[in-house]
Amino acid sequence: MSIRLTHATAMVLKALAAGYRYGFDIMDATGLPSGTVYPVLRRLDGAELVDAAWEASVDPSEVKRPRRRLYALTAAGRALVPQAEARLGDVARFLPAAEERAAGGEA
Amino acid sequence: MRPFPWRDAALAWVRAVALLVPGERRADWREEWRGEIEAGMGAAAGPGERRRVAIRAVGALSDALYLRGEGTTMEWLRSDVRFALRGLRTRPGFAAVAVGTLALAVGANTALYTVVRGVLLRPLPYEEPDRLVRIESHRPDDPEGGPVSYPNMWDLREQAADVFSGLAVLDEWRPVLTEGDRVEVLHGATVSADFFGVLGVEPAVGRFFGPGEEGEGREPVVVLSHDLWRSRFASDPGVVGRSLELSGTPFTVIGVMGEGFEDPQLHGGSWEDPDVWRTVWFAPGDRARSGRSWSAVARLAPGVGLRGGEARVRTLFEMLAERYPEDNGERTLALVALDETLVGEARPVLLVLLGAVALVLLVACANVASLLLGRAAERRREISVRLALGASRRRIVTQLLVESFLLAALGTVLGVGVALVGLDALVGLAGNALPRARGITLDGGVLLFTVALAGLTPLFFGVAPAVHALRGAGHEGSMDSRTRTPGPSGHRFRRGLVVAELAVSLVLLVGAGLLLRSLGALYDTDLGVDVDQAVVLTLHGSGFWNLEADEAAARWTSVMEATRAVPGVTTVGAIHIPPLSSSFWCDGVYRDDLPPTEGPQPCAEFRATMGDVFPALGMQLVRGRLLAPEDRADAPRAMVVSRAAGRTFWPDGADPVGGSVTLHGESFTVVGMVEDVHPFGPADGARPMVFVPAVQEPWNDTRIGMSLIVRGTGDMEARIPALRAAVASVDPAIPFEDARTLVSYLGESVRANRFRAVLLGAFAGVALLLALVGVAGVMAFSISRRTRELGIRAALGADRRALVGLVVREGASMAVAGGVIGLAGAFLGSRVLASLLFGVTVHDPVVFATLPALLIAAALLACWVPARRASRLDPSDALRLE
Repeated sequence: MSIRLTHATAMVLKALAAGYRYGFDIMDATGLPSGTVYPVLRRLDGAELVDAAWEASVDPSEVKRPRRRLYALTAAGRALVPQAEARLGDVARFLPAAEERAAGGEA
Repeated sequence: MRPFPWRDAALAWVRAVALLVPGERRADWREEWRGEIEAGMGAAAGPGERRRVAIRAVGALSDALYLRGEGTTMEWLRSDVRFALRGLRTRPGFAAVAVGTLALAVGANTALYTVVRGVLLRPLPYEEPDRLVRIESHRPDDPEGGPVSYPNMWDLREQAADVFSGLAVLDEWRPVLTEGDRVEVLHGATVSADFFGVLGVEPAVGRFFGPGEEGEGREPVVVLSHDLWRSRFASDPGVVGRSLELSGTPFTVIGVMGEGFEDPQLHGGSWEDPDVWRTVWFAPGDRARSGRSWSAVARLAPGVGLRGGEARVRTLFEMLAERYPEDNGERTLALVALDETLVGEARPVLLVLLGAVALVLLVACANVASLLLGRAAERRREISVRLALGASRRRIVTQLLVESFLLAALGTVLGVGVALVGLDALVGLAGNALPRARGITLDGGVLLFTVALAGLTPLFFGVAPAVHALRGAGHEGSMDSRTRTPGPSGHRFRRGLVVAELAVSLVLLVGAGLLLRSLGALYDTDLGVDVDQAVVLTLHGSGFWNLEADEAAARWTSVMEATRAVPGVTTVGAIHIPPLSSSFWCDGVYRDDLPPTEGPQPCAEFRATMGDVFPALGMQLVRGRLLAPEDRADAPRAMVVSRAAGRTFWPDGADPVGGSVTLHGESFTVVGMVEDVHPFGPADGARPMVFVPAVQEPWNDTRIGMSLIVRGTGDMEARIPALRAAVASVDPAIPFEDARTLVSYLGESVRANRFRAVLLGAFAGVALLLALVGVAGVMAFSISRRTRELGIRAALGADRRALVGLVVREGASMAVAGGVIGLAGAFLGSRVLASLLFGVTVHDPVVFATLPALLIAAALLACWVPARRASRLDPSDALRLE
């Protein structure tokens, strides 16, 4: 199933490729509002470009919050990333990788 | 201060928005958003960050709406449209009836709404039109406002400067335009110099009249209409400064009226849009204060309201009445908003018609809804199968809606075509019965109205069938043969729709019936003249007014003799205002045997005549004699009066014949009395009338324009060219104002009545036709539903007549129900027509008895066709069908 590669879709794809996995994290990374990010995720999900799964490693009663939904690119989704990068052009360079951020790159 | 509970607010919001998410995904969806919000809130360092997380929750709405909309995406729609088109192609009859029904209804509504908008809603094209008023003179015994006199308005213009920022007057002018050999009678107006300034309009070329260009000794100047400028002068701007010979006087063209100017129709009657305007050429003192032939328009000064202005004007006029009791006694003035004088009479008619056409739309919607219901019922099995195969209800409803929408779209496109054709027919039929018709066009606003209509219509008639088709469809086993037919409730709903259609049709039929009976009563009115076999040739006064009195009389005699010699002509006479025209000339008539009385006197419609005008008009003598050739200029003055004039001026019962009365300052002996004549058409009553020989009339004698009344045998209309040639044989320079049959004058005088009767009749006919299609559709469907039952009955020996009776009974019950409801509706609703009826009451027994019977008979006829088909069923076929 094909999908129209809008700017927002490309940003979300790139964020997913960069390792951001939660909806709110993707918003942080892309700067897009939730009203844009979520419909994009639904579309990618419908087109089987992402896999969605509930976070398995936490016990809700232990962390005192509900489980979160995790998104990951499928093989088809990953195949689309170069196109997304081309679509974004130079913008992509300003996007830090998730690992860098986890290491305290952005504070 | 307690911090704002951002977390609780965000979670409550998500819970609320979740209701929008399709049920099967709702739980997961809420869980996901809660997870994100709680995670965000947990990580938030302070109220600022918590607020940021809460703001992110707002986007949940977009997410929910996206999920809700998913599934009705373009792809689905495209396949639905394809599917619907295929479905319609396989049922061309159904599609044609549905689309045709809608096209008729949308077209009729669009056309009529266009007219209503153009006539009633479009602002008058003048500067601040709300401030413009017509000034009317009122007699105490006549509620109708009438024309005013020039000297009175001249005085009022000065005295009422605090009420009006401007006051202008206008009178009719019929000039003859002479260009080389070409002679043409134009429509024109004599106005005060500030007429255009009061209206606030601009010229296309040149200028309008200046303050010095009015009154005695003014330079003769004219302003041309845009139409005349285009047709006669090829829109040449160089026309300004040119000289035009109008009725023998050279006028200088000073300007051309702007395009799109709408004449304010102040004058009423047979007034036509002017081709030329000139200014008043005499001093106010030169005209009689009692000569009320003028119309006045004024602009209210800032801060002056209609009622306040009227009160002030009345006070001022009381002073004029005290100063000139002979001319102004017992009269008063009234102010009427200009748009009211223009469209006031058309308003109730148009609103009634708008209501009627809306009812037609309602019937059409019900009809299409009924058709779609029947179709949905037929497709119930298909729908059951699709539901069983996993199609969602939403998907199926969408598909049915797409089909309705497609029908509506096709109907609308066709409907715009119907509207364009209908509009043309409507404006043509209305003629001058419809004010402001010239400016009527299909504009953006009307198109918007049509599109809205087309958008709402499928909602109205598409949703009900769709919901209906689904109800219960899923519960019944798809393989059960009984699901081929709908449940009893669906059929009952359709029957209800058809009953409603019949009822609405009857309401419209009764309305149309009442108007048609009124029209018949108007045509049946004894007018006092015989309108058949007569033509009216109106000759312009300029052919006579420059002659000596005896020359003019001789010329009229020659003209009458020449026309009398045309083959087929039997009788010829002349009269200065023909009957059934809207022109009037009411003059004071005073009995010589009574002392002069104070105050205003009743007036009589005065007519100057020549030749055999009474037999030419078919008027009947009551007593005495008619005017004759021996009533020469030098003979004793003779007069013929109508019965109404006898009643009015001899209320004591004395015989008018032999009496003596003064008219135009001379004494006349009454030599005869004729039956009453309706001078202004059947809707207007008989008026007191007096007839004198033109040669004896002291003011104008025969040096005026008159109408030849020519009676003959055979097709008189076809003789008009020969008659014109006969007049031209006397002098080719005598200009014609008009030449047409007398019966066409009657047609003009009842044109407004005919317009509304024909239009309401057409709407009622369309509604009836649609309702009958509805009846036939329901009956056909009902029979297909009862095929098995009818087959069993036939197998058990029921004869054909019994089967037909069975089916017709069902139809009859609908027809009677529709008839009863419609009758009640018509009984209550017919009073809105009260002001439009003539000679019939709003509850006319003939109309109320015959039309319901007609409706029921027509409905039974519509049942009969499907019923006959049912009676021909072969029992074995019928049973095998199941």
